[in-house]
Amino acid sequence: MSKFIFIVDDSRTVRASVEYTLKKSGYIVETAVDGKDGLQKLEQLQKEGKRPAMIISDINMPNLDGIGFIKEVKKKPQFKFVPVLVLTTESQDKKKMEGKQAGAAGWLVKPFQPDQLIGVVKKFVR
Amino acid sequence: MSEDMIATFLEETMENLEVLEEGFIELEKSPEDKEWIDSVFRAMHTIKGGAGLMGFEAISEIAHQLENVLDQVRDGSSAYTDDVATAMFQGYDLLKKMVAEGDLDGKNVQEKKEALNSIIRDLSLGVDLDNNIPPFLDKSGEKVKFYKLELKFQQDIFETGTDPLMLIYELEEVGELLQVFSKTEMVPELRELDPHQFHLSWTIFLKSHEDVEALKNVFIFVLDENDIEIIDITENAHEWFKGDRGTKELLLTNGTLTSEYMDDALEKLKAIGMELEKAGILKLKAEKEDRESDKVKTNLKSSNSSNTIRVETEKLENILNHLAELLIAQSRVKSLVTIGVQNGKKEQQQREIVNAFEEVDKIIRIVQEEVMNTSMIPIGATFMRFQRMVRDLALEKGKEIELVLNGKETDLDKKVIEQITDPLKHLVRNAVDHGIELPEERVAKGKPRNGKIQLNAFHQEGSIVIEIIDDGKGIDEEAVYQRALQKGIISADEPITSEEINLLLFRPGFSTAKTVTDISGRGVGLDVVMTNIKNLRGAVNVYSEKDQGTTIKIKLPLTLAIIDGMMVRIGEERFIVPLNFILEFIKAEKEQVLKVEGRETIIHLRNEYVPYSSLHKILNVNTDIKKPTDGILIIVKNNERKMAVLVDEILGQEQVVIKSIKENMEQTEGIAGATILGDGNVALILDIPTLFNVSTKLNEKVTYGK
Repeated sequence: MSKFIFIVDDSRTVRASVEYTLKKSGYIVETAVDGKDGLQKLEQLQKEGKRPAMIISDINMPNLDGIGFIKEVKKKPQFKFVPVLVLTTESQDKKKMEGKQAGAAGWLVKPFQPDQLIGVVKKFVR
Repeated sequence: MSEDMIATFLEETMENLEVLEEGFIELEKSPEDKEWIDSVFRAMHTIKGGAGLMGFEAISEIAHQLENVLDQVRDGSSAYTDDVATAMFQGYDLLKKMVAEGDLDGKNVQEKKEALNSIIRDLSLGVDLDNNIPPFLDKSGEKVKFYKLELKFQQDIFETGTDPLMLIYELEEVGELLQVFSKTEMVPELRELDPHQFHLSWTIFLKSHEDVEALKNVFIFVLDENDIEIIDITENAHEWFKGDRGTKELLLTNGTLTSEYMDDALEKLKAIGMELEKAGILKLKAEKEDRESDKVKTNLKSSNSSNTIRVETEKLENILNHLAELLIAQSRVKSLVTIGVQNGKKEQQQREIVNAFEEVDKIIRIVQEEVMNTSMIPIGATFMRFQRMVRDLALEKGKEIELVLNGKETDLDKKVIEQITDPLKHLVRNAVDHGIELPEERVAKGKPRNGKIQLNAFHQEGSIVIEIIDDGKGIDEEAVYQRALQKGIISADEPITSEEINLLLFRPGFSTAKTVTDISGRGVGLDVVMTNIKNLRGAVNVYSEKDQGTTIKIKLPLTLAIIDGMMVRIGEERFIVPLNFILEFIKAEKEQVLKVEGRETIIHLRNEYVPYSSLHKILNVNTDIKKPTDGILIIVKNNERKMAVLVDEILGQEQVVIKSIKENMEQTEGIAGATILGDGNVALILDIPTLFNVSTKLNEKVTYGK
């Protein structure tokens, strides 16, 4: 299975840290800055014949938020089975469930330690 | 646990195994023989108790199962069938093998043990094979837990992007997958198969150091929608990994597997079980126990020669010195005798010979005492054994008990110690079980929370006294009396003192315990205690006061081999009366002999009345001296009771060696044994305590003053 992971987050810091952590563990990473950007990039990837093994998405984002983004992803047959991990904050317990309902496979609460991230990613991608 | 204790346990167990062997053989011939059933039951009971005390749970467990079967035979709820006999012999072989090979944890006999279990199960006597399994520990000493996981996922799990296989991979990181059973029965035929749907379910056996929460964490994203079951099976892991019928039942009743996969599953589980056992994990024991059993192994060599005693070299040197003196004295006698009569100094020479003999006599006594002294060992080691028992037991019962040991240095004959250990064990156990109250109860009574049990040993008047004193609730005399009535041990019109009521506890078939515990409570305890103590020529006294506690006093002879006795004559027979029972001798005057209600004869002795018993009648000896005034009356005393017995003549004090007559004839009431006299004749040694009982039975006219 490919070790390609797609990250969608509007915070540069989060993107950078997640990207850094994953790359250090040998994953290949692509990023997008919000839901809309995410969908566009996915389309682009599809044309290149690439499919991420996993998507990590923030929830609160401008343009298209995480929930909307996931719903859209799950509509696309070629991405339907890609696990999506949502990043939430503790105050957003509701969002966690919303994300799951939208089709997320799991969640990770911010702030998180690098090994927590890797631990969760490993549930889906090896 | 000291090596001494282990050696003692092994010795005792070997003895009991001999009893078992003989008993099982006898029972094959006559399965209805109650006495043999009783004695094998007791032997098994003792093995179980001892093993429990020493922490040899494998042995204790086997003995416990066999004992339960025997118990049912004993109470008549099942017969001693051939199947029972088979189980017994197998159990015996197993125990013997374990003890003989020092395999006290049963490491090498696991299969045989299981075989025995299933035989006992097949007896279907309703014997419970409950096992108390301590926590499993692996080599590093970390707690190991066993889990069974049932994983059933929603068919559309793939749509969330979750791959269940990943979860199993992840499980591998938190523990060791012992076995994964994939169940494929829900997978449709190929042409109907939707590859986007998931149809497998799994049963996983996992070994892990982690707790359930950590395992749940693996499934954190799928717990809600899927059927994930994580069961901690640590407690009965051995059942799961035995791979026998029991495992099969577990698998079926838990809906874990259908019978289709059963054989394969059982094989696999059994293999795991054996693997775990080899790794010393399912061995049920901690590292500590391993060391303990190693010790047993090294210790076994010395216990095979169990009849050895350690003697201080100084003691041996003294004996040798005295033997040298003896040889000198003997040669002096010899020369005096062989020189022959010289110059008519016959009288002087005879006096010299007598003097020389007296010297020999004196030295022989010294040597005798010294030799006997070598077999005396302090009771301390025996007392120490109870520390752990009391601690464990108190813990189990939720009681707070302090055990105080006094007189640990008191020396006793090795044989006496060996035989008294078991009775003491029973009594101490009883004190914990039935004596000491629960802490709350004690506080409510205004007593300190901590119960106290005292074990005292000391010398008294040529005897050893061992006391077991507890500050518990005391003996409920009324309950004991009622129960004795109900059990038909006594009759309602029999007058009885409170001390005698307490002693009823020691009668066969008496037990007030409501529950059956490891040692006490089966109603075999106290009568065995009494029998053992009597065999040692000892006596038991019980003093009890409500809410103040109970004192049990055991009086034992210093040694078993030799007693100081008074030789008496009745008719043409000579008897030995043990000196420690004799109070005085009197020549009764006519006015001292009285009749009560015209029937019972009593002797008026200064300011008290002593019951009279005609010894010749009890012993069935012909004599001309039949009236109390004709011969000499010996006033004997047992505990607080006195009795006057009539003999023809007092012949003098003798130190005699007791020879058991049990082997050659049935135990005769009133006779403790025999001794060979200087002239080669045999004299019987009277058993005073039983004479008290015998005379009551034999002669209704004799009662004892209360």
